[in-house]
Amino acid sequence: MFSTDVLVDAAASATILQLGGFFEAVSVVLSWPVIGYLVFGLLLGIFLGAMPGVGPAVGMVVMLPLTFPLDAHVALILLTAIYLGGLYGGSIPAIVLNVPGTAPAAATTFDGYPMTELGRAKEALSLSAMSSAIGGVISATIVILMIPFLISFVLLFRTPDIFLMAILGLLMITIVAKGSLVKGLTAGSLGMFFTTVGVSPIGYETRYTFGFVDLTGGLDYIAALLGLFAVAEMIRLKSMGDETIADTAINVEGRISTAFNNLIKHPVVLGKSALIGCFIGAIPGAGSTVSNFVAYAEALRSSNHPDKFGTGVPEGVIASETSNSATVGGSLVPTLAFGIPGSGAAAILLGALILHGMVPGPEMFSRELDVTYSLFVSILLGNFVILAVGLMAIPYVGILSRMDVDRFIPLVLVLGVMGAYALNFNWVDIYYLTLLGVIGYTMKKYNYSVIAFVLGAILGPIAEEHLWRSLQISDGSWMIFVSSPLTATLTALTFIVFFQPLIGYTVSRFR
Amino acid sequence: MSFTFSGESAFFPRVTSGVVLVGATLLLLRNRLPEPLYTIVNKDERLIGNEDTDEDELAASELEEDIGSGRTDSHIVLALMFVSFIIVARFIGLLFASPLFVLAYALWTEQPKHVLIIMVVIGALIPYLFMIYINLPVMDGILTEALF
Repeated sequence: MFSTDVLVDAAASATILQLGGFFEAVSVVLSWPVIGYLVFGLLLGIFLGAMPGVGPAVGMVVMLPLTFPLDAHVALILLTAIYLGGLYGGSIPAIVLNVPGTAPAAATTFDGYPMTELGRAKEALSLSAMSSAIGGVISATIVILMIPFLISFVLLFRTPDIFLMAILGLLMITIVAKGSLVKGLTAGSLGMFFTTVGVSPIGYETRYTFGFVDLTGGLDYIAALLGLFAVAEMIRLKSMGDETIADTAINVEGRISTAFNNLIKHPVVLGKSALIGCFIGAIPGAGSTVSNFVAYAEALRSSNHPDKFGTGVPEGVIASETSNSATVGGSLVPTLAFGIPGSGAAAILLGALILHGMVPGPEMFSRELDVTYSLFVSILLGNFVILAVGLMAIPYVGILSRMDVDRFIPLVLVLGVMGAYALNFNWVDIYYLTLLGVIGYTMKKYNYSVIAFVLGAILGPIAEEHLWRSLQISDGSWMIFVSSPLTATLTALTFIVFFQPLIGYTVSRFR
Repeated sequence: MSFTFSGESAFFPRVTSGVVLVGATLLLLRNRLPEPLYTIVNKDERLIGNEDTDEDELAASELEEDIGSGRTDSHIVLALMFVSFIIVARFIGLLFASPLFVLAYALWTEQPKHVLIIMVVIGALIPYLFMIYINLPVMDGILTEALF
């Protein structure tokens, strides 16, 4: 009886602590200048997302070195806001130009652009703003409500489990996000190998410096992020030629009230797409590029008039936009809990997390719980800003989508170089950025997973340290990786994912 | 030359570089691999899209199309301009090289005069602000260090 009372008291104390953390996060996000950074980030994200081919990742990576002087939670809120805004912004050119501003808005073109052709662009844009906002709010609410359960789960992870999660995440990303497992593993391992340059975390010996003092500090992963997401992206953008600019004047016609009526007519599509987005976002490596197609396909499958999809039905826009926005909340769960991002933008956020001295994993749900809560609260509140800005910006979307990206490319490159130099005041970071800009563009061109490389570059030191610590704990015995049910499950999952192509091949032979 | 570190420090780089070597070799020789290795290496696992599409062949054919249409030039020129910018910056410092790079790019893409001026001003302001606010040594270059 006594022990039950103690348990109840402990649970009540934990709940009070979590509620305290949540309300503290609300007050932090609503305080000045945090709210200002949130709104600025959202506006910048919408602006960059609306420029076809640019996307929020570029804005996030260029802003990353500029967040040095900011507090960790403010920096993370700013970057999350750019991410969130960019996902909504991507729908603008998808609807008015038939060119998705970002990959997660690709499915929006299917019905969004036909609505514009039918003279209902304003309705489609309003639907996009409302669906994005509602999707984001539902997803953030789900995750906030789940945090107490997540805490108990994440706190089960010990040193060997963290190492295994890093390897499993890398393997998952290679098969879920893009293409061949061999390509993904090679890219991820190359990213990890680059992190071994400089002082080793074990024994503090220098590795691969070839006598150059400048290499002692290693190759900074932020410079890698800048090279892959700013330089490589700008080269890719340039290779797209004039595809990114609207060549005709855009007429924004239609009614916002019709959009609202359409939205309340389809609560099931809205709810289902939000759940799909949140769930797929939480799968390491999947992200909004996948979720918008899955939600669109589900809306089409369950519709009474599937033949009308693709001709400008509101459900198509609702499904795609709700799900891609809902992915943000979901994708932060594996990013914060295990250090495994669901997308390029989430990988940059992970980089920011480490840059500001935080370690993804159990700490984010114990010592840094207030930061975790403030991120989700900022998503929750940010979606209301998206709704307001989205509806107010509708008359001006034509201007956004007709921006000449040539005016931004050299400035983004200069900002990227300055950001890399500012990391350690070391030219090695600029050379590394340049090298990865070229490698990154080639990787994209030949469908190698850039996210796998980034994950390797970010998680390399963490994986090495946890591997070494695990082997130290076990006196060098590899049996530590099957020593508990959780560890054994993770090891088994890692092997299954690794041998999945072989298993698939064998099964297909027997069929 | 630099391989003087202990076995403990060497383990992780050995594993990662080993995976890169094996993976790169498999990809390089993939058209000569025996079954089932050929299928496993060439198979693209994805949630959406055609699993059997050879992405590299697609990329290669796109590249050929680009060369035929002359579309490849612009991003190669940009990459070369960027590398030149870094080399020039190493000599004269980022403070002077940045506006020059932006100017060269704006002239190449035939921006209107007023846009060009705004771009160059911003291109000069970015390194200047970095210098003012975080004391970034953007004036340092091999030549400028000798001069100033």
